[in-house]
Amino acid sequence: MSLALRKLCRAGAMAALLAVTACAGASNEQIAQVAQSGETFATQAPRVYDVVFASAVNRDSSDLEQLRKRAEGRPEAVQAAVKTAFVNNTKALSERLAHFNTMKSHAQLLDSYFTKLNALASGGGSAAAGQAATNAASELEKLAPGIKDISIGGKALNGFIGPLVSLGVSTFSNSRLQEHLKTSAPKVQEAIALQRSMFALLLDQERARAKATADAAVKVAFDAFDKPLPSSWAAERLKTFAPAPITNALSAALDAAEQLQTNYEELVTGGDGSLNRLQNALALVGAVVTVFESNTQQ
Amino acid sequence: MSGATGMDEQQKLNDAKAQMLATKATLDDPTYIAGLTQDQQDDAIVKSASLSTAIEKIENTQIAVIADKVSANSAELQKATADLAAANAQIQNATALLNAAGSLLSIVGRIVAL
Repeated sequence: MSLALRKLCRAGAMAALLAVTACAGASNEQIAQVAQSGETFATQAPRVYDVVFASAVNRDSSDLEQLRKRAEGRPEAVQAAVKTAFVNNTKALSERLAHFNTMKSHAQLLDSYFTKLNALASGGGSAAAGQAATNAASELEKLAPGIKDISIGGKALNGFIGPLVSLGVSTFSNSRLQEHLKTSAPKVQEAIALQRSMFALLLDQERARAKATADAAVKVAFDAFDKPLPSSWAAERLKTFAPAPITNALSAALDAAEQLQTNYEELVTGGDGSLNRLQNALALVGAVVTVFESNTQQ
Repeated sequence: MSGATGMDEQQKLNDAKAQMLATKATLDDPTYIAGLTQDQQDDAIVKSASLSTAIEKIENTQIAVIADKVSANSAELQKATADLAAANAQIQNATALLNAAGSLLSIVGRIVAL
């Protein structure tokens, strides 16, 4: 092996090694793990919106059914008021569906983002490039058999090229990932934060409804003793204090969004993310949403 | 709309909704209804129906505030995805180039063998 070629190969190997060790911030593996969790979150979010919407429709239907029953045989003006609510509430639910569809489309964009992030970070590209370089070296060896005698540090050049190219591509990936996180992370963080905000708002709305019902029951209970009690009093009382199951799905989704936010931010700041908490939160969302979906289909 | 003003408006909306929810919950409470005269019950139905729609609308307004921001963020998210796609494409191009070099060397080898 000529001295020049040996020097060139050594310089290449050193450059690749230095580039890897010089990479500050998150490793490709850390980024890939967060990206995979991001993909899971982004595929679960639309399912959460679907079950929350189904729950809102069910609640409104039950409310309107009760009002319609109460208005039966009553003056026309009372029935007209309930009829108006039937129409206007249906319009309102249609608007809500449009907003939820916006959130679902946004979640699908997040999914595309995390899929690309995972592809760049998971090393599939570097392995393919390494294999292509090894193949090219083999062909070169067939053409010039003397090449197989070239070795660096006792290792044949043919066996050296593939890993070297793979390492170079992996280094390039990490460098691009670090650059990407510096420039694009704020917008991705905002995207996760917006999904989180929506889950937080929907959870607040559910809790506000439950609190109002419980507060009203307490207020009414003060006067109830002196008045005739309806036959359904005990059952209605129990229903008042029963927790709304949809809050479980929203709490889980909110926790998952917060954990994803933390883990993604730590890719940028170089902190050590709590990946286990994120994965547990995602598992819980999946389990709770699956229960809702099976109940809806029955 | 400034951030502070927006927050104030959201808070007002939330307070108004809480009041409406409390009123509607009372109007729909079977124990409360049982103690009303017929006219009062009619009035309760009309008010409850009207509040039902008003609450749905307020909730939609709160949801729309975030959904509008999401629409604006979507374009930025697409740009971030395109940036990653470009990096992935560069690696694929390099791999394709190495594959082409391997193929070319193979062909040259066969020609030389002839």
